[in-house]
Amino acid sequence: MAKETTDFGYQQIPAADKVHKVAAVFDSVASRYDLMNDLMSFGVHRLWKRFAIDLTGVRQGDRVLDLAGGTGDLTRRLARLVGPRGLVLLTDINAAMLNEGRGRLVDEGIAGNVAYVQADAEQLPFPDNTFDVITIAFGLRNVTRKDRALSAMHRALKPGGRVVILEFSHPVVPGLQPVYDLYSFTVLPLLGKLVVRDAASYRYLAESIRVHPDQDTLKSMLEQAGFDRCEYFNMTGGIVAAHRGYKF
Amino acid sequence: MTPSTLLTAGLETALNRYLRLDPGALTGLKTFSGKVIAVELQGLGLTLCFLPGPDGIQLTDVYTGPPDVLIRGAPLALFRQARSGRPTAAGDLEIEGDVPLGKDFQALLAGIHIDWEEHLSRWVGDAAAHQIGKAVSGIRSWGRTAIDTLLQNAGEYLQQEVRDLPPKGAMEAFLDAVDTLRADTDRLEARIRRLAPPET
Repeated sequence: MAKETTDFGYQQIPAADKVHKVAAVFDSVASRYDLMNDLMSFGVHRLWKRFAIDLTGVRQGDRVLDLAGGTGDLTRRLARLVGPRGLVLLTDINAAMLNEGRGRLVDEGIAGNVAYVQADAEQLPFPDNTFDVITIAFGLRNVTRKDRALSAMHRALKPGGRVVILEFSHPVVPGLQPVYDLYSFTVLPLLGKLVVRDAASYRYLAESIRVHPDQDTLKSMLEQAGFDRCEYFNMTGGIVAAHRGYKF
Repeated sequence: MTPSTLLTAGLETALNRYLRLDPGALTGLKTFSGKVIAVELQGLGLTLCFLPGPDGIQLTDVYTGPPDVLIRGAPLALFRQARSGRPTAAGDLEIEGDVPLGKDFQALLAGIHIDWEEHLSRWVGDAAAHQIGKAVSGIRSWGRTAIDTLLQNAGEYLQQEVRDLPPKGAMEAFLDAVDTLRADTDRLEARIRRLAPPET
């Protein structure tokens, strides 16, 4: 039987290897992840995340799963929204990123309604119908089998719950693509080299964005996983898109 | 991304920068942790939800749950209330839900005191900051006196010379009478409703 392969940037690698290669990328950038996000997006990533949180409709008392939550940007705001009666579970497959996020949130006094779990998005270790909201921001791109992850999210959501996926996507504004390509393949690796001394990880970032499903493909993947009323919202000319789907 | 995302993000940053200038206000915010205070700006179709916490206030215009308290009013009346801490004319603002919470939060915002001299001293030194502070305070005091005198003279002219405006006492008595009449009408309406034969 042919060995299952998957993408890692522009390369095709054995599916089993992707998780280790992605882990190596994030181990390398964890400590300066937020600084790099600010530099690369000129701070706009905060607005993208803010808009994604607005789409969740989270309210006091909700149980929220923040998948691939990394350094806790979404969890920080979600924890305030769910209040003391709610719960936010910050998960990441990568221990270095999760430790970075936990350390930062605890230092900021965000505790009591936040828990931390190192988990694989494809095999969520939670019972069926557990969460009101699941978010995954800039994480789905790195998951080996996205269809499995989407099905796992659907299973873990309560009926009436919604998933919000924030991810790099494909520019829809005419003329933006060449500028974006130039920026991604020259400026990003250079920034990575200067700030975290790792150009390869940021070359992977640019490549992985290109091979990630476009807006409509991801929307149909959500529908195939069982989500209803699926829709997406383009931001910054489609460089980033937020997808939302409900479980009824 | 909607314009309101940008608006609330900008407002939140500005508000938290302002709050951080008064350590007392940040400490006071802790008591409001876990509460949702909604402010509906009438006429703009905008409701801002304030979620206070130990490190500042989180602001959103998208909150689907019921807030702990809802304060509704015209933007100008809300701004005046937040600045002065004094109640405005009856009917300007409506508060629903946990009324004491709304009043305490408003008192916290009105009570923010920023020690500009202290903040300035970090940049220019104590002596210079004190001199600048004294000068600014003198100008402010002169300005306040000048404005007060102007307002008083203009008020006296309009109330007593040309009699275009009622005196303050008469205005307050009139507003009290309107409030009493409103309460009486409500009571009368309730009584009529009670006495009226039930609809079949």
